[in-house]
Amino acid sequence: MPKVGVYICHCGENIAGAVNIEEVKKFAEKLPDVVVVRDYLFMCSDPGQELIKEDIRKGLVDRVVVAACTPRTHEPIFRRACEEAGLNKYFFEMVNIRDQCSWAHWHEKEKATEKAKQLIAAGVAKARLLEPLEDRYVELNKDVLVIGGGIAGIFASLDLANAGFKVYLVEKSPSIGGNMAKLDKTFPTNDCSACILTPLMVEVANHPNIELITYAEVESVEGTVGNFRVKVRKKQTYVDWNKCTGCGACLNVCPPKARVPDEFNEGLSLRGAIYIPFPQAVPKKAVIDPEACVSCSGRWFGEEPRKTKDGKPILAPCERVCPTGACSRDEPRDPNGELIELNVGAIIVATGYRVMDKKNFKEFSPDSPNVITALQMERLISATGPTEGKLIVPSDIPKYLEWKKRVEKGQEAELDVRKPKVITFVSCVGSRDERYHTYCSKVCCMYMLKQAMLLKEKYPDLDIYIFFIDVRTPGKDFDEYYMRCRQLGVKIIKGKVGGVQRLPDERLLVRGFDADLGKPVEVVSDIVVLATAIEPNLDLRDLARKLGINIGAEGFLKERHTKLYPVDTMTEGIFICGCAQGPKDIPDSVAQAKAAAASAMSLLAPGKMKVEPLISEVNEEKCTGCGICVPLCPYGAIELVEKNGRRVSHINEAKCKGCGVCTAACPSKAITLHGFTFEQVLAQIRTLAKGGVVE
Amino acid sequence: MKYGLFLGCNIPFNRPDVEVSMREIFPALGIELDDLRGQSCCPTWGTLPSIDVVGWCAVAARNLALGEERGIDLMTACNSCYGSLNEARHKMLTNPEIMEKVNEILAKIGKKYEGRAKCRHVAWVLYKDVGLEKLRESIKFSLEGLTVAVQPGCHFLWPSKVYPDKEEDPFNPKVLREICEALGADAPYYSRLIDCCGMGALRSTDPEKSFKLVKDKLECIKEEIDADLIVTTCSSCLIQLDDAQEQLRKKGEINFSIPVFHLVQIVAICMGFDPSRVAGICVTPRDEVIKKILENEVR
Repeated sequence: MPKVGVYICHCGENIAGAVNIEEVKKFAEKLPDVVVVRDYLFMCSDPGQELIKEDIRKGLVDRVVVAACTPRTHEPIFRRACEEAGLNKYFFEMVNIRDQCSWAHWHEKEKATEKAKQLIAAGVAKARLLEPLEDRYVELNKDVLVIGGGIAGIFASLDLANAGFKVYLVEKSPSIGGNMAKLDKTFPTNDCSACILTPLMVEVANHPNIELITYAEVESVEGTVGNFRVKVRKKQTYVDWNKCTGCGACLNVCPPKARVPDEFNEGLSLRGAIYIPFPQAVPKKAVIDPEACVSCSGRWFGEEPRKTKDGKPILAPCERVCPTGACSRDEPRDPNGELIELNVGAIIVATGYRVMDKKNFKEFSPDSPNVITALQMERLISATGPTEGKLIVPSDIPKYLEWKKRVEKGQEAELDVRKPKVITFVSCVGSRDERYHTYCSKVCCMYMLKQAMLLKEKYPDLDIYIFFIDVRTPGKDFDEYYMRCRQLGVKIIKGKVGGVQRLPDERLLVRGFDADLGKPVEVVSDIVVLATAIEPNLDLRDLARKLGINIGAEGFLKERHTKLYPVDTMTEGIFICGCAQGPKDIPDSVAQAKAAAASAMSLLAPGKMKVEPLISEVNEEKCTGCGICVPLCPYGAIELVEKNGRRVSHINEAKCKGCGVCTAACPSKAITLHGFTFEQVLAQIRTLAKGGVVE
Repeated sequence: MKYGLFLGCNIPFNRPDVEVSMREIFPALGIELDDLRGQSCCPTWGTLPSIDVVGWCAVAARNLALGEERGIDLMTACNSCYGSLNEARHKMLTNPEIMEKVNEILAKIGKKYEGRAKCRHVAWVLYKDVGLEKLRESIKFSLEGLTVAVQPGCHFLWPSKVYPDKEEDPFNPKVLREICEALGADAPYYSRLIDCCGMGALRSTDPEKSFKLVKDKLECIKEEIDADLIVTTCSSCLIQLDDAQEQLRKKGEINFSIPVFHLVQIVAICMGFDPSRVAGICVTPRDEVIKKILENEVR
């Protein structure tokens, strides 16, 4: 006869506040085979666990039922306690009377108590039938795939590589660096973004343990923890990267009709169809954007060149000027690029974010070139931006570029551009707004203050207004930063901006409400900067589906547990970090990246991994070899094999996740899911059906 | 095509020449009008809508039911009526509880409203039903050489979700500009185009703020586009821009004069109807600009 011990947790007031513990205790004492019932304030604490261990050591109990919180976080803790006391840890059953009873029925205390009784009875019914099981081990591949080459992906890769792990870093654009490469300076220390980022990018490129795969995207992911098989599509660059030296000779010869908005400058300037993303790009290699290229020589890759009258071949300008032949169009190129396969043990997702486009906000005159996003402002004040950091109104950028071209050609030209006198910042554009995103984008307050401070320090006569709903500066040295900004004379107005209207001279009429004055106010501005919300990348949902990880309601990747497992996902072996998980600043992104790297290391370092034995097993005597289970398995763990002259199902232990689909589907009940056998589950159901009576 | 002509209160009491304009131009453009006998106040803003949502909807529903009984939609030249009737309809269509209570009230007078009949705006009827092509063909005089400042007015645009016809971008409305351009005018954007004229409850409760709004608007029109005339879709905007302008002049706050017309009035003049009948009532003089228009005969 099994000897069942029932341990009821108060969880402080979390459970005891709604569930009458004494009543439940009296009920549990009368259940069959129950020999001990105890309760404690926090069963998971050391003294709480000791209660269980003591009973096991004394031989009082040999089956343990803990009625407490969720098995998701606490089952491993109690299992370990059982094991330490000398009991097979699978003689343990957990009943969740917090999430399912007290929390769900906080205002119906009697019902909460009744439900707790029934669930405990069902737990006891199952516990009587538990079997001892042994842990198993699987071999782990120690290589890691990092997806995304922004600051988070860079740090995760470097930490892993420095610890001796082989890293594949996949980045979808031609260069790593991400959004941080676009920033001018960074708060709260105002150090130059490029100066702190570029050395790290170079380190990644030169690290012997990092294989950098840029201009590539993850196409499919198969397998499970320790053994992921990942297909990566390397996009067609149309430039031979083995020959390209990044000299940039091709960039200026690309004709005006092939010029498209430059992603790096957030559309404030144009780039050619052949381009290097930015001067400090890593790797510094050119690519041809096939959608922008106009084939100005009339020749696509692999086609015969047209000939001049005297028989000379007509080459494309980029092809003509390239000193190494990297741009040659002699050979055909596969537009689909190349598919490569990687085998890794863990994956870190660090795909970052995008900022909302100003076009979404019709009330702010998005058609005006002088209404810009904050990321565009970064480009406007950056030394690598379209104006080399000279502050002019964006509507005059074309004039500036024209002037620059003339000067470069040695022509005389006068620069006639307008310098702004008034700049207005608008906060929470798309954030904290139920029409778009209800969340706070977290970094906007600080970067608006930063931009205002940088501008005000450089141009003290500039009038700067910032319209805030709330100024949120909780962070190390952040509020001091805010106060410094106020002292510089930046005008901070508490209130919303209702609209921005274009004036005929391309200035802007900003109309807001000053909550302190209680009055509407108007500011005529030269530039309006919209702090548009941080959003998940468009293809994040698709990537999450490929990886089998979850997306939260707001569209960012969902961590396994907000507090305790912030960089883990519900899929073992896949970790997340940076803004793909939610809006955050650079210090937080770096911290998370390092956390993700450390988590991947602690998973992979032992080289093998303990796996719970809660998996399915085929009884080959009963199996008829019908094969129904094979296509149903979501993990591809089942195949039909020949045994003793007949076909039977075989389950790959390393792949089985114990989901139970095959067990439920098997017409001859030949498959057992350990830990959830038919007898065990049916005993639970029968008990519940009889209102808590254990047969 | 037939519409119930919903006059409202402002037009017959204050600006009957707007009513004359409608009764002239629509039959001539092939739109039949029904007098919608028994119509009442819409009810306008500041009355029932401020104090009793169900009462508001019931009065609106009674007016809309007059059209529903005849199988036609209503048509108005007053933005207040347009706003009140459509906002009430939106409330009834999205809240079954209100609809039910309204019909309980209507049942007492033997009426019911099912939500089918709606209220269209004359500007949208001109734009969509008549069409700019037909309008262009129907005019005898053109606005060529004249700059129009358009005033769509608040209840022509907001809240955009309640209206049967919607501007693509209510922050940058185009319909009234396109109609004026079809009449031959230049109708440029100006920065305070979508601003309130200052009429509505503000004129009676806080005249100082009301006059500031209209002054800002008029000065903006003068400085940015130096318009020859203002064209509005709303009888309230018409009264405010016309009447308050004169008061600002008398107080010496502005020193210019821009004549104001309702859209249907300017269409009527362009179609050749007698200006003294279709646009005879105003405070800010219109004679000069009317004279200019009548010199612009379309050949």
